[in-house]
Amino acid sequence: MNTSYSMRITIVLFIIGIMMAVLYNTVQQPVERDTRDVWEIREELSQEKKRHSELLKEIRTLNEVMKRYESIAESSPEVAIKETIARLEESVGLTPYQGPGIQLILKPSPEAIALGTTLHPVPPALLMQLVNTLYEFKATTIAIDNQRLIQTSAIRDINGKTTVNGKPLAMPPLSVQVGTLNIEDAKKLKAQLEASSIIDSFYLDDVLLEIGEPQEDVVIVKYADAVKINYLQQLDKGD
Amino acid sequence: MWLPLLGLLLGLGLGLLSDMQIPVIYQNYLSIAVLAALDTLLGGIRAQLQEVYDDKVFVSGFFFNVLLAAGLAFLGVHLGVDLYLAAIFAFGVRLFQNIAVIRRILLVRYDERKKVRKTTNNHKII
Repeated sequence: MNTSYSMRITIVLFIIGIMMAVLYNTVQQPVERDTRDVWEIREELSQEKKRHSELLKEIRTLNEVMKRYESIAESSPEVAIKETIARLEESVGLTPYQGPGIQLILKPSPEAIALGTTLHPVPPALLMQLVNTLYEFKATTIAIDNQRLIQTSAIRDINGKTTVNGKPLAMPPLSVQVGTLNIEDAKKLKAQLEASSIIDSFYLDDVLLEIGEPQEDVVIVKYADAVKINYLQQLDKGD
Repeated sequence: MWLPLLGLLLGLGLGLLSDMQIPVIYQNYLSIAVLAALDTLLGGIRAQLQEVYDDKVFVSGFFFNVLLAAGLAFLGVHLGVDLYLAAIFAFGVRLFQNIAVIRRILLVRYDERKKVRKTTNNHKII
């Protein structure tokens, strides 16, 4: 075979290879089309705006804290630090909560009582759904059967018993305390809960979810154990 | 024999690994260009087998066909006529014709070689 012919064919095949590969890449990864309609985009925009305002609010509070630090630092830095620690503990859930909120009662349903069905603990999936629904409706603090929920709380099944924070739940009836930012939020929460499908979900498991009246003074216990932080590390100074 | 295959693999590897992409609107042009390139390639192989291969014709044909095909598609888009279909049809038909010719030539050569081998064997026996 002629060398020049062979070289030409090689070059042409090389070019064809590149073209095919580029075509393959293009066909394999089509550009994702934006199929949202105006309404969806508007909704997203409003969500982003909300987030924006929340971030601004956060920046403002942090600025205030900084100013307070600056003013207090000279006289007594200890007070400022203690204040911060108290606020952080409150947000984590290490202090008892007292404020507006509502109380939910989980009871066996009347049918279950009438038929004499054996009582089962409330399934963890259902409790998780309840907690998610509550947080969705702007609950700030939740305690299930006097177990305060914090960031690392787990609701799960251990040996057939539903546990919260590793402590087994009592059989129904049991209470769930929910704290909100203000009494208006508590009222809204009650209305939203009543309208949501969560009551039906509980009813399917023979549990009756009773939603109490909004109260100004709900008391929620603090998280009893020490918070375990296994995977967090302190950053070096200045980072 | 191995050099062209190596070229193809190198091209494919380079294209896939570099993750090059073109805008979706140009996808049509590229696919037609690939078809034109394949057509030219097979034409070249056929010419070599028929012993009428010419370097200039092959190289100019390659670039000219690719550009013409892409140009035709471009024109088609702007005129509102699917001219790229014409290119696909023409190249497709030629592709099959070239392949058929190549196949026949190879078959004839194979038969001839067989005959030659037989006759040499017969000579040896005699």
